[in-house]
Amino acid sequence: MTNFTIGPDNSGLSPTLLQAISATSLEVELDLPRLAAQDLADLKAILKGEKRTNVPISTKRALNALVRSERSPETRAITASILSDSRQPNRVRSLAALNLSLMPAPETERALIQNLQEANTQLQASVVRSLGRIGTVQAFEQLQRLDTASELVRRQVAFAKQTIAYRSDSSAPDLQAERTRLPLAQRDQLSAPARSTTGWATFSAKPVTGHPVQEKVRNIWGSTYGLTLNQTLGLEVDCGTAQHFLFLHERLQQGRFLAGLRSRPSIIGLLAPEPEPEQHVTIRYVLLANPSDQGLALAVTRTNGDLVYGGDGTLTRAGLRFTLRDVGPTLTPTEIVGQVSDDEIQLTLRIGPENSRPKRHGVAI
Amino acid sequence: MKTSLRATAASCLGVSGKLSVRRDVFGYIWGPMDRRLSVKTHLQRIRGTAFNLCVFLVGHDPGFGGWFDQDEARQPQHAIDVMRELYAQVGVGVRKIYWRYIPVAEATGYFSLDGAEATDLTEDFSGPNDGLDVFYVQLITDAGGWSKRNGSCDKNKTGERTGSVIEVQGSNSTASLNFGGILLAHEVGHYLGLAHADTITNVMGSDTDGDGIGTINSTSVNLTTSQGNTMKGHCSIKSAC
Ligand SMILES: [Zn+2]
Repeated sequence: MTNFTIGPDNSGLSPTLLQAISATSLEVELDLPRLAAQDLADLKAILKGEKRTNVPISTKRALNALVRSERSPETRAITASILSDSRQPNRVRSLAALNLSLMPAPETERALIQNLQEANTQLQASVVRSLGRIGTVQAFEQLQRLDTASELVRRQVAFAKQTIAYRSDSSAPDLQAERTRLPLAQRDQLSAPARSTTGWATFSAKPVTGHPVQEKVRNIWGSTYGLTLNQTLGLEVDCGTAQHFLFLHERLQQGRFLAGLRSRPSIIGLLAPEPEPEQHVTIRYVLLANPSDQGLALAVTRTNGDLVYGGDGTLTRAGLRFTLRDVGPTLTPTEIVGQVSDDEIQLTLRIGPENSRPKRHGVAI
Repeated sequence: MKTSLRATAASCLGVSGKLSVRRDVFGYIWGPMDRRLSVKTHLQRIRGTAFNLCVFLVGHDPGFGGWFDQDEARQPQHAIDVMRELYAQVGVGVRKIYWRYIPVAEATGYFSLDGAEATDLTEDFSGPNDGLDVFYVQLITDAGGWSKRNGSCDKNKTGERTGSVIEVQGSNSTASLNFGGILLAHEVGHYLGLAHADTITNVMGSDTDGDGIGTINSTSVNLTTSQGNTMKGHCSIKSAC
């Protein structure tokens, strides 16, 4: 059998740190090592170029270990300096850009804006993506002016502008205009034609309260798109083949659900797949709502901006009735119907038996 | 030997006429490379219990105008060669390689991915039904790769990943390339039904703290007979040809 082992390290680093940042080691399915104080100090020194190792290290892994272990001004400064370091591979700089969105602050936004004019479109797209997650009106204005021929960047700009507009309180005309364009796709896509749902499987979402919600919020890895989440209430959504959890905006509290929903255009929730036991939670869908006189428009997008479900709600005497349908690239024909009063959110999923679209197969080489 | 080569190419790989050993029999299309297995051993492996693989380069364009450079495109090929050697320990062959790419224009949402986005990717794309899908992507933000454990052979199955998603290695050193092979063997091992092991020298790594996360390193090269038997029981495994 081939021996792939590399030579021993004698730079005085602990085996734990070496394991966490080695280029030939991985915690495969969740590679976000958490380090103790001395290891963290050594790691910072390595990333600042003050300490050398004599085994190959992965800067990507090092960046993740850093942000997992400590979110501080120092972590932000180190991450920002790697983002700005043109000697680093674009992939590493892209990760630095994305990790910055885990530490929202005016300095973070400034660091990202400074790198917004990057010539490499993948890196530029990552900077835009990160700005969409934490940016304010400053970032919005920069994105508004950004001129690009890259479809990759253009798509990220559209999604970033949308999420900033839906998050921001700013009454700047451009942001207000952006909020009226719900979602980034055309409005007519939102009102997909009704289909017969006879024979479809039906699932009701169950409210989850208290400690388990807190636990799930704590386990989220990645951006929450600037949302402060409701720590005491969420919804468990069973789709038959998969279970998801719906995190709600903090504003949506029992007793004032309807008011919270209709107060302003906003990101109202985040949907995440239920993780395997002990694993972290990553957000899969972003829920947007835009109130109108008659009710509200609703859209659900993937975290890359693809519109997946769209629909609207109408005010009735009992509250708000809404229907969403799959309008984008999901595989299963889905109808989500529900009713919201100030005290209750009811949600039912209907899933069709056949796939709603064929998969794509790429190009043969 | 010649007859055996042609016969195997025809019956196992569906290739006839003029053939290139490297391209048509090994399935290596990305320039020259040092192979670990001799032609004879390789033919034995693919004639026996084996499976097919469909490799996607996510964000590639012809002439390397996309996100993959030449070295990165060659990485999965090297990884397959390493995986073939690792799986040979338990008598599981990697028979036919389908190569696919997703052009940058169609991959715009998939430059960087987290765990949920990896599910979106396999929901959008799939390869031929008789091979396991492996997607090579540029950047996974929170892991080295993912796979469904004991994955489906129905590519239209919803609600779960129907393939493995792996990040390209950050370096093209031999150590990194070999490690990429271990990573591929690890992820495909999951898809074929394997759980994490309890020793770092196993391809399936160790999960000694029981947190569900497997750790591998450059010494994770062994497989046990029992693991081989599990793999041979997966729906994607083909009988001898
Ligand atoms: Zn694993």
